[in-house]
Amino acid sequence: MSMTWRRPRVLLAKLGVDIHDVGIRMVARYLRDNGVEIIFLGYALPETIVRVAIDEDVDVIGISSMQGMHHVRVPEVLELLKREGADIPVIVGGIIPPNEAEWLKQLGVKEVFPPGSQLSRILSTIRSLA
Amino acid sequence: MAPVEHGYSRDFLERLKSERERWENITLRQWIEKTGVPERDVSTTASGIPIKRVFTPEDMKDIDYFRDIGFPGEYPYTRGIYPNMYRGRMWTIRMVTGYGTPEETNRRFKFMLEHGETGLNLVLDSPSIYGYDSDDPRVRGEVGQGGSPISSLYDMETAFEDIPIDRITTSLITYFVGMPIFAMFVAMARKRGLDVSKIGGTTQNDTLMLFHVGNPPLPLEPALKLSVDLLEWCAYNMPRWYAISVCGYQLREAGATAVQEAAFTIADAMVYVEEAMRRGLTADQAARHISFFLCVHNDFFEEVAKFRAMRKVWAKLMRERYKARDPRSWLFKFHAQTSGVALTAQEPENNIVRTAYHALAAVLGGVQSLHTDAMDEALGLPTEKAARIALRTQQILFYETGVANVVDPLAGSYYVEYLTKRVEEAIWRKLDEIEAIGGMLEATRRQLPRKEISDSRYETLLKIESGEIPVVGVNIYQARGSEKPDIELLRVTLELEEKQVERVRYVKRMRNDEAVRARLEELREAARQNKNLTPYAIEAASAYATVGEIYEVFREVYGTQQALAWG
Repeated sequence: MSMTWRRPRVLLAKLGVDIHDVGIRMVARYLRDNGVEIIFLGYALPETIVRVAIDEDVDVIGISSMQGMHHVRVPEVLELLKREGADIPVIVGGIIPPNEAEWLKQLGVKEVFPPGSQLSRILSTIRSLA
Repeated sequence: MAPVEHGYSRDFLERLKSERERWENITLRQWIEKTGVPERDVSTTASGIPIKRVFTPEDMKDIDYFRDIGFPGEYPYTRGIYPNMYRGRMWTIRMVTGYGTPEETNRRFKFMLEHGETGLNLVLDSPSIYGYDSDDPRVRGEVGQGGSPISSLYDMETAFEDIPIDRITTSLITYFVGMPIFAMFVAMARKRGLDVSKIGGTTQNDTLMLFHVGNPPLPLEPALKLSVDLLEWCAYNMPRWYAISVCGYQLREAGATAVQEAAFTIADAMVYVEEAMRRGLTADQAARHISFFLCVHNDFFEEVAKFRAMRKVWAKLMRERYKARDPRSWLFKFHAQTSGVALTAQEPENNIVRTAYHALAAVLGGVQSLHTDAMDEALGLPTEKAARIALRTQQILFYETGVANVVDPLAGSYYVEYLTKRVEEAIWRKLDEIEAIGGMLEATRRQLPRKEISDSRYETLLKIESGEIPVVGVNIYQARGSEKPDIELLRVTLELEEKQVERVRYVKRMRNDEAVRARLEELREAARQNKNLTPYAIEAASAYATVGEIYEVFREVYGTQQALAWG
């Protein structure tokens, strides 16, 4: 075990205005209860997500998409991060069909968590990325 | 005459007790010893009501047939709001419909009607429910994703083209935009030359629910005012319209237990009745424009009990507390939707089975109108095939199984009557708690229901995580490769979004801008003067003002709501 282990710092956001936010709220609670520092952004557009992620020096960005907007907005987040030269890993959760999950990973998303994903797997992924 | 306790003689109950003890000590114990199979330890329902392996008339000791159960269509309506229920009319098949563009939505409406749907249920996309037009750059990528975009009267007219809204009832799932969307619907009806006083339907328009689980754009008081404005206007103009459909569904899907869903929903409805009465309406006038929207979830008998108990509590509240005189005001009319959160992305075909059980519980619970989820719910929007199977699920239930042939067939089940009584008591207890802290409006301001619902969901989630709550195909019996379901999916493309954006731009080019500005100014002025805004919203909608423009007026006059607690 490393002696310099620090609490991972994670920004959680929902893209756009979709009302289905229970999933990300639950993920936030679970991570917080397991030693992750949470910056809960709620509803936000890519510009805000990237700006806050950089300002707050987070280790990981977690994005929830329940109604398909990831197909437009997640690539924008990745593009903005690249433009800012910020090397912050992005993970995505929500209603993401398998073929789209693969596509997101090809674009650079580190991991995708579809419905039914274990909370502990989200936690361990964050720890390994942070 | 022998002493009697709610229909059972003391002698009978004493004999029953000793027989039950004998059965437990001999028959049961021997069976368990002989088989060597330990009994599963299941001691409560999903919402925590104590249960045991066998129920007998002993558990109905405190239930009086005439007081607690009675006859269907009579107070306290435990057995159903109509005397002969589905022997008269089948429940309404009302399937949530809307995606992509208003054209696609219209096509799907027609498809569902051709296949036997009997009521309409329009769902809006996220931008529309938050009061953003489809051409707003902030909502790019979200247009038409979870419902139909409705930016203006033009979209409403397209979505309902060729559909006889005067002969079929329509439910509008409006979330935050009850007022503008209702206004567009009325404007459409008037433009068709219809007499709106004869049109039947429902607007969701439940502000309080959106503070318990949503992220409301407007502050509580003005948002509530808009909801009640609509109710008040309907009381004088649209006798067949349910202005507020008080929602338990979203509370449940966000994590509430059956008991929390039931209690919070009724407490919310009480706020609307009281607000309407403060405006000078009678309880009878208010009741006529309020209906309910509930979830049907997994714990089958508890769900049936929930519906029976809610009918009873509502009837008592309306009659005794609010002194409604017309028996029609005591009727707890509800639409139900099968649980989406209970469905899984893994092995999606299994969801057909889950939904069928949920639908059965709704029907045995005396539902008035029902939506059944499609199997692809956890993966995206319903394909035509998935929606048709969901529709057929209801038809098979009604026409083939015989469950609708007898009114309230579970009545008299020791277990179901016991559960109904316990759910009822739990609702009254929660209503008392809410009253003790100053009523539901105050509880909402303090975000107490929000917190409680979130806690319940979190607890459930941890139990699913640990396997304590089994989910077939997810935490037990996971099939290899099930993460790649082999079913067709419906996706809304950016091309479709572009088409809708173009429609909104077209409206903005073609309409009379001067008229729009004038109507919006009148709306703004009426809002400042605290008038009932419904007629002004209808005028604005008739001039093709958009949902974004109307909502912008509200944002200007009322301000915006800060983000509510996430934890």
